[in-house]
Amino acid sequence: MSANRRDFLKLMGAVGVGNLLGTESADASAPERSSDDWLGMLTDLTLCIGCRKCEWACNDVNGLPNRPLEVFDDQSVFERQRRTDAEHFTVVNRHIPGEPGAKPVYVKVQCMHCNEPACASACLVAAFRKTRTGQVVYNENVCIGCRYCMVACPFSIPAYTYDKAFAPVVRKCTMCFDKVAERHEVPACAKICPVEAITFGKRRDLLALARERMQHESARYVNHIYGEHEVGGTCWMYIAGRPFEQLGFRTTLGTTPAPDLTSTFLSAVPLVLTLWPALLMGAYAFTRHRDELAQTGEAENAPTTREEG
Amino acid sequence: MQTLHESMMQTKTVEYVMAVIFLVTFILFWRFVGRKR
Amino acid sequence: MAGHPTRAMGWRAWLADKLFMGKPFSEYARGLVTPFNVVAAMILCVGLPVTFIRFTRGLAATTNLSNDYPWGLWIGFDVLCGVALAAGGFVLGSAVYLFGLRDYHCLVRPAILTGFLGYFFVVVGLCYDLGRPWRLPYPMLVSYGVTSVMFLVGWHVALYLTVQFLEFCPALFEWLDLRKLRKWVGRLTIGATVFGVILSTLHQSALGALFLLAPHKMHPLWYSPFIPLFFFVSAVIAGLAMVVFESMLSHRVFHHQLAGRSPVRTDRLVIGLGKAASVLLFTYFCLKWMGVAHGQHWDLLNTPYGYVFLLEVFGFVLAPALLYAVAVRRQSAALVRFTSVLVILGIIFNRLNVSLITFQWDHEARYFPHWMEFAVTITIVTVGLLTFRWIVNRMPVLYDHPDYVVTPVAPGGDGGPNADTT
Repeated sequence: MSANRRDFLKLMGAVGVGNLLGTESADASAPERSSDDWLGMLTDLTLCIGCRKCEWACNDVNGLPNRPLEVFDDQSVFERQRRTDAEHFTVVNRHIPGEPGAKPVYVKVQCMHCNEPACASACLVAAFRKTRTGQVVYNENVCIGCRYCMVACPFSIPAYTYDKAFAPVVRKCTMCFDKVAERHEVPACAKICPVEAITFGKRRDLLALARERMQHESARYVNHIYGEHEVGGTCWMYIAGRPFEQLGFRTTLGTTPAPDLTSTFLSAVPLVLTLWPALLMGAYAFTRHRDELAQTGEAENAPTTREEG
Repeated sequence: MQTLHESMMQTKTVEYVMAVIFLVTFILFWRFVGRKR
Repeated sequence: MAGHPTRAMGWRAWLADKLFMGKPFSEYARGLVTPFNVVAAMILCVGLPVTFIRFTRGLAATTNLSNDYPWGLWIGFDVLCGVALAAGGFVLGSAVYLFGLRDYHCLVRPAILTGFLGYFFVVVGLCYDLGRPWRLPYPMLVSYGVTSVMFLVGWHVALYLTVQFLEFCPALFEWLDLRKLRKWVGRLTIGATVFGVILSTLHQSALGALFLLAPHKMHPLWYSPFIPLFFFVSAVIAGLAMVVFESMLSHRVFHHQLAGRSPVRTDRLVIGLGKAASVLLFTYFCLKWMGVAHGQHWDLLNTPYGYVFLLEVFGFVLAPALLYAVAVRRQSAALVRFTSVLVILGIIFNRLNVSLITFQWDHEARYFPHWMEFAVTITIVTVGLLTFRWIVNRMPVLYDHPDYVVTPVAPGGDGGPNADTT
């Protein structure tokens, strides 16, 4: 990418972020909430060289156990597919395509910061929320550790500190929410990437950028932006030079957002709460009426006569 | 634009509170209907 | 029961009478040494240290849970199976008090006790599983995740425990000889029963609805938009089967309390329950096939997981439906009892299939519980049985307290909103 475009996007990102963040912590019911404000990340998988400096930077910025940068050059880590865990908010996996001589593709995995996060929908204490700027963040002060968020996440991202007995927490990428919010900086992985495979900016700008790249070099890219519509759309998106199913992506997720999956059942709940009392008390009244008839029938022991009313 | 999650937070809160109020008023209404004059 | 100490004789004597069932302590202590108790003590000798480890060293030290498998045996069995098998309380309660099937009155209290203890120990099991169990009240008091099905489950289990306790209170107050309280709580029976049915409908189905959020992780033959309905119907069936099973065990363990009861009458009730369960099982069988049709997953039946599904549906749903039907036609209570065990195993099989066996079914690395997870589960079941026995040995659960005449439900007699219109 030319120096001009890089600086332009960084400027846009900073300006856009600066615009919004003045009011981030203010009243959450501000009228001009818009998904246009959402920030996101675009990872261009045709550029990634698998250096894993993003992993180092992520560990560094989040206070995770880290090792010197040189250790990340070790290629043996690619021999198996890794997933995020309590001490790794992001991992880079290598995928070697079938054809002989084809170049390996490196894929960075982390929280997708979904538009309609399943974790937020699942959490019974609302520990997850999607901020005005689009990041999905976790509040450990209310979490009870039920781990339903981990069941619900279609990308299997949240990890749990099972080894902690007294203060276990859920851990995942925050898109450097604190850095972005307080210091108007670019998230650590995007900043350190030496080939600028990761771009940070407004989601709608990133979509435009992705489409532009795919248009300019249509032979280079597969015609699909992963995360544009998956599970209702995500703020972290990918473009790639090979079909996504070959790169370890889940391509059968569909476009239904998570809250839609349970909304039918949840709509039935207040109806049951309202209708069941009438049905059940009706049954009880019918039963009692029948008993009264049986008792009066025994007492009178007379053949019943038809009566009006 | 509100996300589905945000709109659901509002509707569910209203619905659950209404359901509790309905349960209480139902009990009162049942007693009202059953009471002989 | 004649000549038991009253409070006038001093609270120490009264307490001893209540705790030691009217026996002198030495005799009571000697009577404690039974094979069952010895085995139970051995189980506790393992379970208590494991509990200590769990709460001092965390989940990693005592479970095989992982980031790919966040729910294990304690959720799949202790919570899901426990709640389903504790459903007898609301089923029998509504049958007797709302639908007027008064013949089954003698089965209500044991069913409610099973229900109350069942839910109570489900919560105990849950506390082992939660990362921060001391925050269990948070969804009730601190932060409300109203969009979550789990939020519903939490609220309903808490409320339902309260309701089941209220429904059990008449027995408790009779034992404690608190007449006024006994009368007052008796008037709550109808309201508590109605509320209990509402809550049960919602949380039994909500436990199924939890899995609606994970379509990509469940095998298509088990994932269905109808899962809440499947869970509710199978819970009612589980409740009926558990009432039969529990009555079968009680007759053996507490035969001295039931000596006066006619076995023919009990058999008739058991057959009646079997009849209801038979019809429900057949209906549930049809519903499961509706689920397959809805998802158009016929081709998946000819796969290994498909065979598991066929086993569950034919072996543990249709087969017991037919066995119950045969038992009813032949008036064989013994066959009803046998089939009930099959049904209980089938419910457990279904819940484990949904939550563990077919969850992340396409993953290479699969989860199997740590031995300590088994130890905790067995310990909880054991303590539950011991508690059940302790209560039944003392309180009027299997028999009617002679001081409290149980009248047939006259208008307003057994409590309810119109109790004042006698």
